[in-house]
Order: sequence, then C-alpha cells, then structure tokens
Amino acid sequence: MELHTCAILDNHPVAPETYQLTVHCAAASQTRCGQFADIAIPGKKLRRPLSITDWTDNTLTFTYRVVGEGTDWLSRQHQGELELLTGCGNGFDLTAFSRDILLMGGGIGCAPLLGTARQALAQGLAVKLLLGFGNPEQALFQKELSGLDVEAVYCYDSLGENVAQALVRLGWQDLPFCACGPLPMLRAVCQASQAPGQVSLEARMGCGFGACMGCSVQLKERMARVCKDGPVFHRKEIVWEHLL
Amino acid sequence: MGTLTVNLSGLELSNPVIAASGTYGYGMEYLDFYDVNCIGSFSIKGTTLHPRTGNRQPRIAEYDGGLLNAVGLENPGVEHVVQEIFPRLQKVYRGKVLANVSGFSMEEYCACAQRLDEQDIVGIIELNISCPNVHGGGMAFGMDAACAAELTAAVRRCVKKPLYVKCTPQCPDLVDLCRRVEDAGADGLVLVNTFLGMRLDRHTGKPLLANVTGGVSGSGIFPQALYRVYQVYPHVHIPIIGCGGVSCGSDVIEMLSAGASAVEIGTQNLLDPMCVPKVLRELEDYCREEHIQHITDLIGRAHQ
Ligand SMILES: Cc1cc2nc3c(=O)[nH]c(=O)nc-3n(C[C@H](O)[C@H](O)[C@H](O)COP(=O)(O)OP(=O)(O)OC[C@H]3O[C@@H](n4cnc5c(N)ncnc54)[C@H](O)[C@@H]3O)c2cc1C
Ligand SMILES: Cc1cc2nc3c(=O)[nH]c(=O)nc-3n(C[C@H](O)[C@H](O)[C@H](O)COP(=O)(O)O)c2cc1C
Ligand code: FES
Repeated sequence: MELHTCAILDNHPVAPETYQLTVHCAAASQTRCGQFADIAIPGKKLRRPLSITDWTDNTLTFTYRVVGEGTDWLSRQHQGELELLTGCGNGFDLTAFSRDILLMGGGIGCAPLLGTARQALAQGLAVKLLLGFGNPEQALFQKELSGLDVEAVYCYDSLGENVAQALVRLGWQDLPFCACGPLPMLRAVCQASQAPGQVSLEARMGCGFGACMGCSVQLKERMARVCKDGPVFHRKEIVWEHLL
Repeated sequence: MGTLTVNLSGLELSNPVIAASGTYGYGMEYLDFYDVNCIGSFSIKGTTLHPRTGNRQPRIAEYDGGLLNAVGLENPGVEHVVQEIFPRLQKVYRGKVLANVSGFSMEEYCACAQRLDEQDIVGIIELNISCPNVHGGGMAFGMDAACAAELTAAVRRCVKKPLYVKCTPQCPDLVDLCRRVEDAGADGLVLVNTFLGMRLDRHTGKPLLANVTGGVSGSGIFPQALYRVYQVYPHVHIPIIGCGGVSCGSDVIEMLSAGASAVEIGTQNLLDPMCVPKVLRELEDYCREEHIQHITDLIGRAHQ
C-alpha cells in the first residue's frame, strides 16, 4: 500500500449517476485486479474505497456511482489532484483458474471486472462475463468489452432477468467464477452455481489498511478484514447468514 | 537522554507518542508506511481472555470531527496474541507495548492481564475499563469508582508490570474515580477513551451503526479530553497518558501542558497513516524553536 497524490486526467459520465475517473499514478503497475484504492475527499474524515476498473503502467481508472456527498464531490472534479491510498486489498486470484473463467457482476459491482477480464485474457483463460443492471441505460463496459476476445452477456431487472437467473438459463453453473455486487446477488449466484468461485465483499471502512477492525466480517472459520484479508474471499468461506 | 524522551513508571520511551489501542492493530499494519520503531510505543488491540467476534457491520461512521466506532472488542483472545502475534511482532518491533486488557468479570480481567504480564514484549498493562461498545463489560467498571478500585486492586495483585487504568469520560466523577484507582494500586492513568454517541442515516432516520451507539473519537473530542487531563492532574500523583483527539504536534504540547506525561493518538492514525512521523517532526521542530531541552519540562505547566 502506498499514499499517492494523483492528477485527475479524466472524469466523465458513462451512465446515469455513474462516472469513470482516470488519474495519473506512478505506481499503478503494481495493481492486481479486484484491488481497490481509498480516495480522500476534502472535508470528509474517511477515504472512499473504489475498486480499480482498469490500469496501465501509470494510470488508474475507477467507475463509480454517485450515492452520497463523497461520490457527488468526486463527480464534479475535472482537474486537480486527488490523494489516494493505492494497492489496497488482496484482489482476485486468477492463478486459481486453469481454462475457463466466468466474471459476474451486479450493478456498480461490475466496476472491477473490466481489468479482471483483461488480466484473465492475458493469462490465456477463456473469459465469459455475465453482467446485470437495473435497466439497459445503466449498462457498463459494452464498448470496451466488444473490443476484447470475451463472451459478454447482459441481463436487466427491468426485462425480468437477474444474474442468477441468467446463469441458469445459459447453463454456466459449472464455470469457475469471480463475482462482485450486492450481497443478495452474490448469495443468489453462489446458490445457483456449483463451481468454485471467489466473491468480492463490501464493508464500511475506517482505515482501509487493516489497523482498526472496522470492516471485519465473520467467515466460516475466522474473522477477516474486508480491507486487508479481502475484499475477495473464496465462496466456501462465506456464511451468508453472518453477512445479510 | 534525548529531548523527546519520557519515562512512564520506569519504562523509557524515545518520545511521548503512543498509538492508541484499536487503531494500530498489532503494530504491523503500519510497516508499509514507516518503520514503526520510531514510535514511543503503542497499545495493542483490546485483548480478552477468550476470542471475540465483535459487533455486526456497520461498525464505523464519521462526523466532521472524526469517527464513531462500534467494533465491540473483536480480538483473537489472549492465547493467540501471545503465541501467534507477539513472536511475529518481535521480529519487526524492538520496543515494549502497552497491553490493553478488557473483560467482563474480575476473574477474566485478572487471567488475561496475568498472561500478558508474563510476556517480554509487554511494558505496561493498560486496563480498559472504558469500552462503550460491549454490554455488561468494559465501561460498566469505569462508571463506578468502587468497582474500578476493586478491579484495579485485583489486577494489581496478579501483575508485576506497571498497571495503567484507561478511563471513560462518561464517568460522572472522574476525579474521584482516578483518586481511588490510584489508592488501589494503579501506576498510571490513561485519560480518556471514547465518548458515547450516535449518527442517524439522513434518508431513513435509522442508526448508521448496527450497534446503534458507538464511541466518538478524533479531533472533535480533543478539547473535552484535554479538560479531563487538566481536571484530574492536580488530584493524583501518578503519570497520566492524555488521549482523545490528538492529531498534531501542538495537540501533544497542549496535552503535556495540561498534565499528561505522554499522549496516545488513535483516530488520526487511521485517517492519516503517516501521522506519527509527522507529529514527531513537529515536536522536534517545536522543541528546537522554543529552546526546550526536555519535553518533560512542559508537563503540567498549565497549572503553574
Ligand atoms: C472494497 C470496496 C470497493 C468499492 N468499489 C466501488 C466502486 O468501484 N464503485 C462504486 O461506485 N462504489 C464502490 N464501493 C462503494 C463506495 O465506497 C461507496 O459508495 C462510497 O464510499 C460512498 O461514499 P459517499 O460519500 O458518496 O456516500 P455516503 O453515504 O456519504 O458515505 C458515508 C460513509 O459510508 C461509506 N459507504 C457508503 N456506501 C458504502 C458502500 N456501499 N460500501 C462501503 N462503504 C460505503 C462511505 O465510504 C463513507 O464512509 C466500494 C466499496 C468497497 C468497500
Ligand atoms: C476503531 C477503534 C477501536 C478502538 N478499540 C479500542 C480498544 O480495543 N481498547 C481501548 O481501550 N480503546 C479502544 N479505542 C479507543 C482509542 O484507543 C482511544 O482511546 C479513543 O479513540 C480516543 O482517542 P482518539 O480520539 O485519538 O482516537 C478504539 C478506538 C477506535 C477509533
Ligand atoms: S477498515 Fe480498518 S481494518 Fe479494515
């Protein structure tokens, strides 16, 4: 983990109430997919955790939804600098996949899956994505994914199909997966799928680097800090009743 | 003896800055940011005899002056701390720690304190009678002077190392409690733990913390914490560690002036992981600019 002052390169809307932010960050190359950064918001005590959507050697890109004062402030910044704590969390472990990988996301939970898809391709995996949104207007990454050698399927609550339902319809329940999204969606896909999988959790955070236990959740056999031991956990470690 | 050196009941610290319990993990979380050996010392996460899973999420909320937390004393239990964590810590940290002990009964406090007292790496036993986030324990002892004194005396009998009692500002008569804790054998005081508070979601009107209430900390409580130190100092003969909202070098100077022999910094470490090195630089600059040879000369000068 490192503290960086990063120049804002771009920050534009990509869907209703949803923005994509790119900053210059010298150490961006150390990123792993599924990790997050903690962004300082002037006038707010806590940094806001945002997943890394994608990165290059010296840029980091985030995709975020405006839900409160912090993300609203962020959406109005088009130049200047941001203070970031980078390299947070464990990220997805792609070494656990040998041939196929299915990336499932719900809503803004899709944010980390673009970089994850790119990394998985670089490792020679066959990549499928199943992305669910409230309605077609909210869909993310359609353009970016169409340029990659992946099979991407979108489903929409407004059209009567959520991610877990689409998973069954497609017959992809045996594909090992990575998933990120709201807890009910994560639970539903874990119930529908028989395959090994990794899920990315969210929690209110204090420090973001493992010092306060503010983000701890109870897993099957241990307590785990979402910020440091996670946010990604193996599905078999999760006891949904402890989280929901 | 360096300018910043302080002495707490025989334990010499290279400077008066101690990281507060619950905000410094077990010392190893800050290694990405700086060499933790620069710190005066740190207090380990509140440890209990048995493991505790703590409260449900969400456990953290913010306000303009800092944080509210309701972690609920999550910790892996004293045996795990002694057998798994201390050996790892000893590889990176050369100093002694304050061992923050919590409990739900006199017996539990004693057994836990005794186990920690046997460890080389422990310099001071910090008796936490002030945790607001667990029911029927912690703060219950800290609200009543007679209970606090009885517990202090009991733990005093089973530990050899200096015993510091960490008090809650919720206590209706803190001066009286501190006096009685001193009479019961405490070697020092830590003033103070968090203030009880809450936040509500502005859309739903419901509590932001699953526990409903939490401990309020951070720069917003500094004046109140400072006042507790100022208030108690003339009435006791044992060292006071000032704690609550300390965020910069000048807060440390104020705490010492009010009567503290050292300070603990909690929340500011979480908000700015580089806080300790910054504060140390500010203290060095201050002493140089003000021609202060020993920072201990500042202790209690508000009362002179
Ligand atoms: C590991 C992780 C990765 C995340 N990645 C993304 C992402 O890529 N894109 C995105 O849009 N959002 C993401 N979030 C959620 C995002 O952090 C919150 O939406 C954001 O902090 C809200 O801040 P605010 O000031 O706008 O809202 P407020 O409601 O004012 O926030 C108040 C407090 O609650 C916290 N908070 C609010 N909502 C959440 C939430 N859902 N999860 C955790 N903390 C929350 C804030 O950090 C802040 O401390 C992620 C959360 C975590 C834990
Ligand atoms: C997240 C968090 C966890 C804490 N856990 C403990 C604890 O386990 N034991 C304890 O005595 N105090 C605990 N505290 C209280 C701090 O040690 C300190 O007394 C208090 O926060 C006031 O100081 P500050 O304003 O500098 O944070 C905790 C505080 C925070 C913010
Ligand atoms: S947010 Fe502090 S330990 Fe995770």
